[in-house]
Amino acid sequence: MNVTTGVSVYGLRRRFGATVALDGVDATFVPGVNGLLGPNGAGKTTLLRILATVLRPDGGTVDAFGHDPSTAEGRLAVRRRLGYLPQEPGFHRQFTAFEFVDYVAILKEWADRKPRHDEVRRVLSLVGLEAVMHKRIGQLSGGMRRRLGIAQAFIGRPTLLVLDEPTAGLDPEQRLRFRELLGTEAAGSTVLLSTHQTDDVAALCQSVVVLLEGSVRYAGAPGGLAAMADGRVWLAADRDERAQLAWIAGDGQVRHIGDPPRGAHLVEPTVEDGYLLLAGRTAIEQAGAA
Amino acid sequence: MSRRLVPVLSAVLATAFFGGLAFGSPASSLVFVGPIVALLAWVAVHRRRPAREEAGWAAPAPAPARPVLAVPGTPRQVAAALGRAESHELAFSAWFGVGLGFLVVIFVTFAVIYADDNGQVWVEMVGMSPWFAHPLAGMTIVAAHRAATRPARDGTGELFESCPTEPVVRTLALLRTAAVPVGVFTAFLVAYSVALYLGSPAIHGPLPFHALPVLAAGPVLVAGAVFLGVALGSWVRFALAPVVAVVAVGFFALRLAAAGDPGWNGSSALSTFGPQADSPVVAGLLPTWWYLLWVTALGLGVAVVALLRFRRDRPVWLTGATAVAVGVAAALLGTAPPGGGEAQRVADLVAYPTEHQACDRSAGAPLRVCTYRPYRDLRQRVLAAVDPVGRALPSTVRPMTIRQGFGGDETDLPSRVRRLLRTEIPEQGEGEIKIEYAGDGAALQEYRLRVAFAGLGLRLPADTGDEGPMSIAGQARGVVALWLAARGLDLEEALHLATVENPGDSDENLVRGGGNDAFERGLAWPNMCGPVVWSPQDLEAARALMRAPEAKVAAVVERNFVRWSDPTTATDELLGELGLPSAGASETVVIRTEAHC
Repeated sequence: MNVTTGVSVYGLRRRFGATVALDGVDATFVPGVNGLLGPNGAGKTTLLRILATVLRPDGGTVDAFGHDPSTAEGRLAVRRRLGYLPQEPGFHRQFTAFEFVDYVAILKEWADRKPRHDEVRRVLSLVGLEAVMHKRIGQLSGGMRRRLGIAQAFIGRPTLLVLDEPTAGLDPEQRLRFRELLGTEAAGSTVLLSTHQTDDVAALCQSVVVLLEGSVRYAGAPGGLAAMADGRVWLAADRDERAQLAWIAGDGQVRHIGDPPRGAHLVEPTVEDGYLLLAGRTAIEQAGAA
Repeated sequence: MSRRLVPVLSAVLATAFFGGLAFGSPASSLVFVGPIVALLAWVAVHRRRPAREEAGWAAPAPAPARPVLAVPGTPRQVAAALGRAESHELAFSAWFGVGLGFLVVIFVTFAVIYADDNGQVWVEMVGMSPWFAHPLAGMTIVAAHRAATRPARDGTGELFESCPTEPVVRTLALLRTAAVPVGVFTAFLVAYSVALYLGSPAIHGPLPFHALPVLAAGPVLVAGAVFLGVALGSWVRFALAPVVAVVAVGFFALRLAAAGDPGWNGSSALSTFGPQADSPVVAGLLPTWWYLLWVTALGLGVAVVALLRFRRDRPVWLTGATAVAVGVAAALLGTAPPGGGEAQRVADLVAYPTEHQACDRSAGAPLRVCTYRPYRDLRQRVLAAVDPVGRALPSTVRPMTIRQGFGGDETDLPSRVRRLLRTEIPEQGEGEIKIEYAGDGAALQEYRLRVAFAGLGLRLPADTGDEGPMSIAGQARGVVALWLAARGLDLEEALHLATVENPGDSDENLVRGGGNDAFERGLAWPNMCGPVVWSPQDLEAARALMRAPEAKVAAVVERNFVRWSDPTTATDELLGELGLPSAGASETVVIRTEAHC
């Protein structure tokens, strides 16, 4: 891969006191949508914050489009390409939606008023907030605020989009709109998407990284993650105690992940099956070690 | 009206309403009842609707061409754009609205409701600029601190940090919001000055060049308030930090303003309230330019402290060092004794007033008014007020001179001027009535009374060195003095002169818990601190004289003027001579010698 077209991290480490958030992470994120999966506390947000240049790693290096964010010049170059949606973005509730995005646009060095306002209106219309853009943020619903956060991240169509759980709080239709938005607006950009929604990953991502306990446990195509569960997902009328994970599916049958019994009714695995198999095994190992 | 205006308008109106009540001018509070009701009605009509319908998110339109930020804004351009956004926020801040409310209270109280009571010289009015700036400055410190700490408070710090704009540019943008309070306060000063010029004809005197720095200090102070708020916000996020700062600045400023001699205080140049002088005679010695430089250096220094949080390069350090050097120089030179030439000039003004004064003589009375030369308008105003009194006096009364002079003592002068005084500060001369600088309605009434008393040969406690006040209850000369003092006034004004508006309402009376005794009801001197006290019966008799035909009373007064000047002649004798009913036995007035006003 040509490093100037994507983002790579090498041996990335970061601790918070006694807690190891990242433990030597190596990963490469190519142009397109890159999913980041992992349970809570796996280190996803820490990795995204480092890539968004708001957190310095304790060790390791970051190469973003050929720039090193550990230097002032590199950091500035990355920030000029960056659109960032933090996990819990704050808002100035007394600002209107327009004023808030306008403020962020100025911080992104859009100093000229006319093109800036045009761009602010454009990104607000992308998320369907043009009708309420002059309402105070305090009056907006949680979902609309989330869309406002998404809107500011798209200012100037950044070539690096770091989105930490962007679909949290969105209803299914809005998640669909978000997928459409990424398809149209992020074409050609390198998008890093942290999520708990494995169907989002399956639908959107060209590659996916699974983080567990600060380490990369899988990096590759979503299909590859699903394939890890090949031959290990089966349906049965009753729960089988030998399965690592089992739950009642929508059709009333019990979906199992693990080593199937002889004669089991195997089904096509999904990204979620692969992810759960990976994460579930770790959980079992943790329990055994304890 | 925009909903965003509601907080700032509420703050302005609430402050103006309660500020008027707190400062003892309920009349000014009443002015705001209408706007408050209108605002409440607007809010009631436009109150927030229950649950908002979720705005839909339709499929995105085909993406237009990729927007291109061809050239990122320079830090200067970004700071300017951010500064405009932050200025908008500051202007709509409720805290800033409270500061605006204080300005409204000041304007309505002093420039509208009590405009007629302003009789000071322009130098003193201008000297109020730093005082008026303080309430706005205090609220601006809080508003600026909240603006600087907003990202931390609202959780937007991480998002903002991910943008290419450096924190120091955000700080510069916040510093640029100083234009808002500077503009507001300058507009206030202009409006206030115009209102005083048009509505307070009694304000008089010259506006010398040395007074201008004090005028300019007001806008500088409110700019410094923004800098202090931003500096505090950059270093100390604690929400009460600006409140502590406001209290501390107020405390030290007041201590500095009150330090030194009772009158002259050299260290007042270091107070943000500005250098003070009890008399306009010595105002020319005030280190006003050094004071302006001092507060400018303070503001600049605080701005540098704000920038040092995020940028510590050579230009910032050099600016800081310059601010310190200028501040130290301004402090040293501002508190130094005045120059020899100027000190000598003031010493001569104090010791030899006649050599620096011009006089206007009455055409029909043995009366002239002398003031320092630049106070021609006061001279004419006083002469116009006392001329009818002088004309009503018999021709046998010896000539009188109303002379302006320095009213303080040596402690009101800088030590250098004291040393240069080659004689005592002159007391009121024989045949003279000494006045200072007041030219408002109450002062003019006082001058009328003093001319009348002088014409009757009644010497006031100040003339004899006695403690005041003195009682003239039951004496005809007191009634004649009131009638004389009312010459030239219309009947309503004349009756007002001989009427106690609020008996028992003086501070002393409130302290004592008494009230409405003969002393209180005999205080007709216009400023309640007069040197004489009548009895209520005397005041009734005076009003009867004022209602009687003027020619008849004038004839009686002139014919027996020696008799009416005699303290043993009773009020009833005068009323009998005029054929007016007796006022009854005069109540005994027990004089309060201690702080009766």
